[in-house]
Amino acid sequence: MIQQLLLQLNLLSTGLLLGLMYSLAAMSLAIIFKTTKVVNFSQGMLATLGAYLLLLYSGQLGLHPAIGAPLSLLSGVALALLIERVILRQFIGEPILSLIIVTLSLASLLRGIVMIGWGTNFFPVPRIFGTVALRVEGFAIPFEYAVGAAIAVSYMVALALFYRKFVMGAALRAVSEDHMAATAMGISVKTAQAFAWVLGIVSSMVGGMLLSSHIGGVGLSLEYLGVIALPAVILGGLDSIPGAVVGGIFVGLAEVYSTYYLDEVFGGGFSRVFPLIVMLLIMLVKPYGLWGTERIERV
Amino acid sequence: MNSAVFSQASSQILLLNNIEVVYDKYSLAVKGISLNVEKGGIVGLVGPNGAGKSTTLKSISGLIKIERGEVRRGTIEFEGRRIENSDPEKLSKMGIVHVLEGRKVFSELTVEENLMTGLYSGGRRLPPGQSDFDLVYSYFPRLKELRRLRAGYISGGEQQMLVIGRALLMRPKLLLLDEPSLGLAPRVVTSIFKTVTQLRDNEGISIILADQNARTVMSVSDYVYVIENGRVAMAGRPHELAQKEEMKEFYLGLSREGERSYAVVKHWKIRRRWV
Amino acid sequence: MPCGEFKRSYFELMGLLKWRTHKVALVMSLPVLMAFPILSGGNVYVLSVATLILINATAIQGLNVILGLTGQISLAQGAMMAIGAYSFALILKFSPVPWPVAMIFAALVTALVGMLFGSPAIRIKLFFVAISTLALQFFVEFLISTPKYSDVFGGSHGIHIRGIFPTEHHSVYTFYLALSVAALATLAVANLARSSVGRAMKAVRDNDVAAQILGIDVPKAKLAAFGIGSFFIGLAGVVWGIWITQINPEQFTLDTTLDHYAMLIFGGLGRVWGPWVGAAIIVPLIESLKLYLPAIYPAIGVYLAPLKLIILSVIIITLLAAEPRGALELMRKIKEYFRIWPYGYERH
Ligand SMILES: Nc1ncnc2c1ncn2[C@@H]1O[C@H](COP(=O)(O)OP(=O)(O)OP(=O)(O)O)[C@@H](O)[C@H]1O
Ligand SMILES: [Mg+2]
Repeated sequence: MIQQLLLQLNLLSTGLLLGLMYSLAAMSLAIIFKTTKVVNFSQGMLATLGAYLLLLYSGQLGLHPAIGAPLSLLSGVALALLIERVILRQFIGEPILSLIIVTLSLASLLRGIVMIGWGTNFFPVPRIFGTVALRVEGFAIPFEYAVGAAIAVSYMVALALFYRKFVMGAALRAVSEDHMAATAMGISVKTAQAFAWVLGIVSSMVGGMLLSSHIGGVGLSLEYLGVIALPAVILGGLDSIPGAVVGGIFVGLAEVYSTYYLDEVFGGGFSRVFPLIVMLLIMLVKPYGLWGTERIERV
Repeated sequence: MNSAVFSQASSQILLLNNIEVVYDKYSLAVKGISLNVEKGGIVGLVGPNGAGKSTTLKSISGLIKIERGEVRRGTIEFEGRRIENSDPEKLSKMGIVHVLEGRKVFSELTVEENLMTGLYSGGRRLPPGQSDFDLVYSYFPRLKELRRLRAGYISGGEQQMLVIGRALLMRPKLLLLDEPSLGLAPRVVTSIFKTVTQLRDNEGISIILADQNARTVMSVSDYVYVIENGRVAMAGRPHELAQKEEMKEFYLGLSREGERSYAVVKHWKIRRRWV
Repeated sequence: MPCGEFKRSYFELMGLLKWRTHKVALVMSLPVLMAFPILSGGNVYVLSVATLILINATAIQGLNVILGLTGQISLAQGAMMAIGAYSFALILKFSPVPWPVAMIFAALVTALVGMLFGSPAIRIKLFFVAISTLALQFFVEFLISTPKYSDVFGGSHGIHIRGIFPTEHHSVYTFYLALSVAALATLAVANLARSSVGRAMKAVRDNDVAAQILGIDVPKAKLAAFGIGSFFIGLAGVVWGIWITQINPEQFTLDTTLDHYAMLIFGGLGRVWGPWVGAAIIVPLIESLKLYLPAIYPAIGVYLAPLKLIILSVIIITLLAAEPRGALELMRKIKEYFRIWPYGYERH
């Protein structure tokens, strides 16, 4: 009885925490989609790149995480600006089709660069918090998980505040609604989209850094974050920040529970495709997700 | 020709000199319009659908660029500077603020968030306080009551107040109002037009008012241009225009012999004054 | 006298081979293609590169229907080829049907799956179908690689396709098979493009909302595109399987999608000859990199895969930014520029 309860508690908390990591990736997709109407298919690779940056600074160069983390974040911002200026800026106003292909190719480009820089090995990352765990009677949450979750939650709150309270946030939402009216308010659509891309890319990278310290290492397999974030954000409705968080948590729970209950039945690794199946079902019955805004398509 | 009305060039904030506007490189929407706006004056543009009123306003605010249009010929001067085909963001910083036709509120945003977008061009990035909106609320107290509602859900008149209000926060020198009366009840129209004159009197804003509601436009404007088919068909001070037969017939709905059938009206030839 | 080629009738305009250059190119290249195994002088490597070109051209022709003609997106190139190859192998393994029948069946299976996962395209939003086809890629990878189902799919080891051609002539026979399948696919797509279905597809590509208003059955056109396109991708998978004889999950990853996009975009989206041009230039480019780079610089071995990724993605991004209609169009523009240089006229 107690055993059962502890097991359930463990599954629930693991799923929740994992889901919060995923929600960062989902938020990144939502940020970009909100303003540019593009689903960023390079999201997973950008997250992976973020993790490699963290590895570079605090693992390979041996800097203290307190210095390495901000440094890798700064490099991430610089990189995001570069990607936006050199590649994405060329495609503002181009058909969505082109942009989907471009973001996919961007992912491959980055993967190529990462493979040249780091090869294809899995690197363990230094445990920032050692093996400290919050422990209650046979039930333990590694401290790292808790920190990751706290960062994800505060990031969500900060983003929600940003979009509601800040002039820039209101401007970004205005652009997503009506380019003409936003321009009439003196808001440059180009600037707004660049801003959204950079913010989204940086969020991906933060997600990748957290996930890598969550799973204890960095490798190209992290790119799966880009796939797993899709069901989360489809569930949340593509353009809603809270929706992305709820979607992320859902996917985290689905993965953990299906690992425990379904992998045996359907074969190892099924937990990774299970959220995708759920996503396809949602796309069939509720194409705008649970929180997404439905809009009328015009010629 | 029209400039004869204004004796001093320096008192003019805006000068359009025979502009031609094309969309998509080929489609000519404005075929030569000249007009000027006196500092602190209200200029009315009236004309039928598709006459080119909105296009004229968009070429002043630079927004035609967004719709793949350009000023192909002629000049636009704002405070003595040439501005045709400039970027709309730059023009709005210079003080030309365009209130689009059709009450383009950001419907997902609340009333107050809509107002926040008006602070953007002033370089404001941080969260605004209540006092930032006092100017708007003093003209439109109703908006203060609605400030937490989504703009998509408020009434048409309130939406019109909102788009004028958020434009006001951009600190305009020249306000371009496109069809503020469209689809609104007469009482609301009267109140909005009253506010427009207050904006001119209290804030010293120069205004161009494009509207189909000719009678109301003439009641508030200092000078009125009648635009038809991309050209200025008539122009003059409201009381002068009101005397003209064709004006009475077509725009004010008055005629000497009462009702006429459409067949007769169709044959009435307007004596145009080409620029 | 007209200085150029002009079409005088609708019939001429709708001709299968519209331009003189096409006719000349075809007449010149057909004998070369037919006699290639002899011309290659029995060099198996050269022949295998040629076969690879043909297999890719077939698969890209399928993608061309989906992406080039109809403007829809499919990210499951690897998965669809896998479906073709695996179902072919399984049909042969479990039933006594002759291999050409199995080939058609395998392609039909691929077409069905393609239509199923392409059906989100019916919703107007483009990224839905991008996402669902991406999901298909991961499903298929999961199915064919997980040990749970290794009885059927062989897990990471894969399946061996029993000898269809005599071993001593394997490469020559597969070359001719690949050639005829690629030619068939091209002929079919060329005819499709001039049919009413093809025109409906192009209308959907250019503006699907407007096409709907014009009374075009948009869902039908989109589904047809996925069905027909996947059919050819499946065929390409079958030929691949016959050629390589041992299929395994590593051959059908998302990288295949990148390869095909690079080749199609290079050759020109929506052009019937685009897949041939793209495959004929990019496949040898990659292969010669693999061949010559290690000879020049031996330590480069591990960098080949990432280098390929970088080259292909740079090709895609620059072409999409500079000229979405492909490298040929870009070259034509450059040629045109120098032809009239220094007198530029207003280009649109
Ligand atoms: N974006 C555009 N692209 C092409 N043509 C346009 C565009 N916008 C307007 N036009 C054309 O320009 C002409 C003038 O239109 P405009 O909107 O300026 O008229 P208007 O006087 O404002 O009419 P209304 O009273 O109906 O608002 C019309 O013939 C219209 O069809
Ligand atoms: Mg108008």
